[in-house]
Amino acid sequence: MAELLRVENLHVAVEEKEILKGIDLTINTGEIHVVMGTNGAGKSTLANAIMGNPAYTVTEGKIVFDGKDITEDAVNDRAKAGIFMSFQSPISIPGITVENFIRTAKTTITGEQQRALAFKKELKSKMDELSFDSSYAQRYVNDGFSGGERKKNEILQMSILNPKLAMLDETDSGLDVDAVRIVSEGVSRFHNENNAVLIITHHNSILQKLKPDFVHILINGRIVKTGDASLVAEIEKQGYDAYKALV
Amino acid sequence: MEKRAIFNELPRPTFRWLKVNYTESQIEEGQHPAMVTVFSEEGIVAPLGKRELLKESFLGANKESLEAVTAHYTAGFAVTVPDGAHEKVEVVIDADADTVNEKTRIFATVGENATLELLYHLKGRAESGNVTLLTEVLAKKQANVTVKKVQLLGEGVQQIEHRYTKFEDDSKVEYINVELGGKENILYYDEDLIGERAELVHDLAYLGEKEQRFDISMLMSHIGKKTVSDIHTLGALSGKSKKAFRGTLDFIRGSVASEGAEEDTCLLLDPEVKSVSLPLLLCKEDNVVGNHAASAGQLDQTKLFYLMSRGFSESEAKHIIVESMLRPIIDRIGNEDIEEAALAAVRAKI
Repeated sequence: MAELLRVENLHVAVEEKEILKGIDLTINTGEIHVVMGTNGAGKSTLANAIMGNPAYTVTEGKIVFDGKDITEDAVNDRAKAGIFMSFQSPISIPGITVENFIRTAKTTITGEQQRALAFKKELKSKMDELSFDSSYAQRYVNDGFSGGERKKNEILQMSILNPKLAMLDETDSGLDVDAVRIVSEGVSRFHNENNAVLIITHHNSILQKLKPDFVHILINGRIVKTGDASLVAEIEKQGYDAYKALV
Repeated sequence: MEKRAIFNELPRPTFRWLKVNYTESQIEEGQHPAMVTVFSEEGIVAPLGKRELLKESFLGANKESLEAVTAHYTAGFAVTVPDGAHEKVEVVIDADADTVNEKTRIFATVGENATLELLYHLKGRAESGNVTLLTEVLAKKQANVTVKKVQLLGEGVQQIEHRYTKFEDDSKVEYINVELGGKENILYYDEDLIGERAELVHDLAYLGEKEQRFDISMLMSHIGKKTVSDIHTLGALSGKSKKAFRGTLDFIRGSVASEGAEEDTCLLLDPEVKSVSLPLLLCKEDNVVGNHAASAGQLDQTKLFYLMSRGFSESEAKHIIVESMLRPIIDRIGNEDIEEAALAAVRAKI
């Protein structure tokens, strides 16, 4: 197990309002981390800051990925370094087909031209695994897709782009039980000893096929508790009240 | 002294101080007619001869320009689709001399229950002059008409288009424009939805750069009952390019249960671009629905972030966003070679 991501004393502001107030987090290869917390606690801010969203300003602290300080790096450089974020609300890109989009993204990230036939086969296979109708490969990205289809498309991209660190920002929200199971299985297939997963969620349903190594409770911009998988069940049962008092 | 003239005048003027009631410009002069080629089945297209306007009171984009192309066209064709027939016609206007002076007039009569798909392809190496295009369409009962236009003229050429459509009962007309070339593009569309249940869909995409100008006027007159019009102009502007959109939905008394929608979407890529949008709604009938929307804005930062998170640089992401805006319209042209040429032009510009 090697250190993949290290977040040190991370302070992040959005439009001058401080959201994250000193986050320390280390993720090693082979690990699955879960971040849970109340609405507005800063969970999505954490993922956005790691991905480098310019709307989120790092005011203090640093982000080290794969041994390199990436705090000032552009979003696409982080993607090329191996960070992937599954969006809570994936956007649509009319005019660009799913196949063309993912193939071009993979070419850009890997720097290697993707052979059409081999890529088509890989895409079809990954779509089948996600019970994702393969005709969607020729549809415009997320254009007219349901919420569940958009999330499946995110997991599809993740599995093909094969990042070192996959961050899932409430990928399970708004999904029916079957879709959550499919997404959970997709993440499980993706995860191995050479990569890591950071899951931001409100529920334990996405964890049905995954066993988190660490669960972090984020309240008001701070990680107030870190524990093992049992913490998820505890939160489901008792809520966050006990942790709010720790802030 | 240059002779200034009025183009694309609003049917009902608004405040003068807004300076949007019309566009002032001049008709550019050129030397050589373009090479105009028409592809169709035999017997469908014939020389036009002398012909009055389908609508006597048709104003066109500009009176002088309309008169010139009506009476003194350099290429004129009558397209006649008999009742029940299904025809395709392609018109290629190739401005292949350095300086162009082209006036093309097409008069299309589409018979009852007939279908016409008319494709215009404007291109050429000309770097100055004028291309004027007049199209008149008579869509008879239950006729289906599609007119697709891809305009890839040289960046020094002025383009003036006048188009009039007369709709009979249950006729359906779809217009698709991809406007990429030309220095100054003045486009005027007048639609008389006279027949009951007549329907119009018009989608127009443009991409402006440098000093390019797009001046678009659309007048949808709902005259018959239960008529429907749905128009959308969308595009992007960079450099110092300008776009003006004047869209008028006119519900005439008697156009009961008619619906009209107009939308103008413009992506502003540079600080010096200018986008004017004038959606106008005129109504003398109670029982109608009219919608209009206009949006002009800069690049969607969320979209940019999403694309960059997939490895694309900022510049590549902007290219994707602009291309993705225009592509759904380009994809509807239905001619692979022309679609490729249009896409290549888009990519070259962005």
